[in-house]
Amino acid sequence: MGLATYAARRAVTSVILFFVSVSIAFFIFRLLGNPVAIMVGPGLPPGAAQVLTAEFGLNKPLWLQFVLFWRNFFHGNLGDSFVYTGTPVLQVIFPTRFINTVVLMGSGMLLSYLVSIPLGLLAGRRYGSMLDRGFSGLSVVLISLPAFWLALIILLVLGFYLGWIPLGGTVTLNRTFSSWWSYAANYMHHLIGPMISIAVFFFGSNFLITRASSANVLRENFIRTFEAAGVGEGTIVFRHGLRNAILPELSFMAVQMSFLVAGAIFTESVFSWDGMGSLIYLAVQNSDYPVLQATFIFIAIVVIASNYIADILYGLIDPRVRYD
Amino acid sequence: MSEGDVLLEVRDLCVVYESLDARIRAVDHVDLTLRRGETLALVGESGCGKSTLGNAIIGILPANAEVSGEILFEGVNIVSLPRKRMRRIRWEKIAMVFQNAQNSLDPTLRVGDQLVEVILAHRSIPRVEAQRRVKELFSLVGLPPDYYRSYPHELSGGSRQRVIIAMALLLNPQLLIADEPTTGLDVSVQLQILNLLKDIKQRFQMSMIFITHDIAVANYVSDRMAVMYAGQIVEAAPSQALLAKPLHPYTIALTESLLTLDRRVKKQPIAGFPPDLSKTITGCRFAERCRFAVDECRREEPPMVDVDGRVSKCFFAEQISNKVVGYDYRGD
Ligand SMILES: Nc1ncnc2c1ncn2[C@@H]1O[C@H](COP(=O)(O)OP(=O)(O)OP(=O)(O)O)[C@@H](O)[C@H]1O
Ligand SMILES: [Mg+2]
Repeated sequence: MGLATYAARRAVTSVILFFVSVSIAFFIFRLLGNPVAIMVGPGLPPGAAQVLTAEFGLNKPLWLQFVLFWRNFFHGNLGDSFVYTGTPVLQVIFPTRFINTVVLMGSGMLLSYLVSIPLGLLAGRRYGSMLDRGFSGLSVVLISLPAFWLALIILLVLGFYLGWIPLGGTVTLNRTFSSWWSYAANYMHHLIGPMISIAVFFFGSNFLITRASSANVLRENFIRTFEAAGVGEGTIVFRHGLRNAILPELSFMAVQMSFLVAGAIFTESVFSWDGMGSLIYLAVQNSDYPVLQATFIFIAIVVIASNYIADILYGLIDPRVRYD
Repeated sequence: MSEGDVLLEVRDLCVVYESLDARIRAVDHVDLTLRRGETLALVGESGCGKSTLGNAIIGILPANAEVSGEILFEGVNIVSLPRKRMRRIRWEKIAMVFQNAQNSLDPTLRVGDQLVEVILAHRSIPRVEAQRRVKELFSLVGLPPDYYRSYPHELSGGSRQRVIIAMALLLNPQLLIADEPTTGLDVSVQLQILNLLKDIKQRFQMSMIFITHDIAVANYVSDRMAVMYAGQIVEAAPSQALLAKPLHPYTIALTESLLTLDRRVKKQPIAGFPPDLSKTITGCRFAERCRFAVDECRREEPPMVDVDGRVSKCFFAEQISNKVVGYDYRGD
């Protein structure tokens, strides 16, 4: 079986996996109890609960709700938000919150990889050196810090004490921008803090994993051959080391996507970043099930897709992978 | 041959591996001479320091290795040569086929590209020219040119070994060190690789140091043999002479294990074990396993003695030569 066949086959299983996981999530959300009861509270008249229950279709049998859920899903309807009453969930998420989160997560992860992978490779190469011990120690500290606290410290130091970054939001409020690029510059300025938080949040695990696989790979026989043959240190570490050490890192990248949610919730909340993370936070507080369900679907897509991409990349980098 | 023909001279070389709890004397006061065009086989049991000696010559010992003594290559001591100058000798003048060469290639890259990388690390020539050179060498070592695009795992053990040999030849070295280049290969493939090495040695007019634990293989490829035991060279002689008439009890033991192999009797390893190299050893290192050993052997280290223009590190070398001690090991 070639890579193309494999890619196609994996695509099919990924789609199936998506439907299964969203279906399971559907029932889990229903098991958590009646959201209307939580929403209504003791203050409202007894009739209100019935009206709301009917409105959200919660009075129908579970199987029918399930069928309706998927039918609506294919019509691009994920229900209406409880909190933003009457607003369809998709409109709550798209496009602003979605874009904000993708930009933040994308840039944060990228920054994390750009710093942690080269440093991890070097530390693995110089196992036990000052550089290695220093960054390994730092990583352990960073991993043990709660994401929330980390974001808060960064906001406090960079924003409050040093005044280098804004204290929150995605752009300065109540300000008109003369051009698109002054808007973009303002947006970027706001992005710095949460982006660094995400990068720091993932630095530790990325660094330690890269370092461990780099140390393993760079001890292999073929590295000695290239050293003896006069191939430069840069080529050894960043070509041979990277190609071989990135393989375990790839599988981990996919797993990381699920941690990304936690990172997003805390970081976005601390920096008032108007994205899906802060939306999830809000939705959890207010039992906004349709929003939670929609964000869950989004997370499922991201995790399944990154697993898929990691698998294909693995096959592209490592020629020994056999598809059967 | 005159002195001018000497390519490599190792003088009083010691290599000690330092670890937290021990100092392993892997190479202990070794002297060695290699002439141009000569193939020298280093023979000895596992752990006697053969690879360490080879790695010391090409200068790639690990950081915990402490080296003393001299390695003169074309008259220049390369032991403490600055990195930059050593880089111009390593692989350009001295190349090596490493032990366990089967994983001497990057599994994620095409073999041809890996060889090109080595050329380009030394020569500023266009990539296509380097590729041409690689293909040329492929045909020289008996590989079809389209193997250029193969990945290491797609090749058979023999083909992979040919790629490794081609890699060693990329820059026309004058000295090739081949460390157990046939271990792990099928017997028929072993012979092919041995013949290939003999052939390219002629063609490139190289000298070769051939490391093996198999004295029969050593005899097949080499002009001269040096027998190593516990970090020392205990006997050196032209291969034919050494095999026909070993002058050191350890060599005798080695040739006996060879004989039993010829007779299709189960190979009989030498009884006992080599000494612990992290301990200080008094007397002859082989004494514990030697059938000729007397008290003196355990007290005092025997000198290298010259017998008929050969050397043996044994008090009884002369007697063995005159058959006063021992017996005709061929038993006919
Ligand atoms: N990096 C190292 N650190 C510490 N000790 C080492 C190291 N490399 C080798 N040694 C030790 O040095 C001694 C000689 O090893 P070496 O590999 O040179 O032997 P060898 O003759 O090549 O053996 P083999 O036939 O098994 O390859 C052995 O006792 C070995 O355990
Ligand atoms: Mg060895």
